Amino acid sequence: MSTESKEILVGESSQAKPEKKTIVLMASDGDEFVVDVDDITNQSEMIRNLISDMGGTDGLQVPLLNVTAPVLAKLLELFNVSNKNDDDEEVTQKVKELMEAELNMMIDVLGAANYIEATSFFDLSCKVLADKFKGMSVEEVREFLNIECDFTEEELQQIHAENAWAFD
Amino acid sequence: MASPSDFIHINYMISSNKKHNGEVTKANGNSRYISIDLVESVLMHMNPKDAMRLSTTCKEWRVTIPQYDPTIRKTPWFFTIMRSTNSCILRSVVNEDTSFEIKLPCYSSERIFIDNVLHGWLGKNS
Repeated sequence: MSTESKEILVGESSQAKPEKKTIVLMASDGDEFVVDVDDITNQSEMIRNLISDMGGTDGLQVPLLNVTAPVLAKLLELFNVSNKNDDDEEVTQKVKELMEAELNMMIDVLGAANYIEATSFFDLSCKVLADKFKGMSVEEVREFLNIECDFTEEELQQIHAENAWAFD
Repeated sequence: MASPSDFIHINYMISSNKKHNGEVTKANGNSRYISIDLVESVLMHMNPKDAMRLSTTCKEWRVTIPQYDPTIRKTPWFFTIMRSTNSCILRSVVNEDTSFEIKLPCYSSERIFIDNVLHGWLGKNS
């Protein structure tokens, strides 16, 4: 794909820059997001495969049934940060900030990234969450995520006894 | 909280044909649902000890342990025999921080039999 666009650039005068190719992503609530093909295929394996299966990007609309508009907007915003920076530092920082400010949104963004197979962004975000969790006690994680403990005291004791290496 | 104008970003044009009602109701809810797929991925991004500890958060999380419990994970161990101390060291090939030293009281430097291997070993004499 990149060699093709290069040829156009060489053939035309520099003023007639070819228009960037775009596709449309549709959020679950019907909102449409016009995205640059290179920007999105750089991140999403699912969309990369879809474009190659469809044999092109002309008029391509991708419905993302599991992703709401606010979540998709936030995900695309973070992709932007990631595409603009060669290292992961900046985008890691943004994901961290999102986690601290709006945990629910961060979790939804993570789910959406997984859904569209944005593997490197997904891994990076998992690492951010993992770094947060590993410094917390089980009780703190339960409180942080609003999860109720459904183990009995006996069950917990048994798990601790069977896996002493992890609980010393 | 984000307003619809925040969604317009330099590289992404948005043709909005709906109001973002969903966002408001969602942000007010207290419950946080994190799917078990995500939990599994997150726990796999930390060392197995922390992951095992946090897997006791609730029963659903506990189901993920085969992915990172080094004692049942189906990845071969790197097995180093230490002649000097009559012991061997098992190292995880995935996470180098995870290793166990095992004393072999009846250890013979001449012959070694390894029996009942469930997931395979990588062996090395040192």
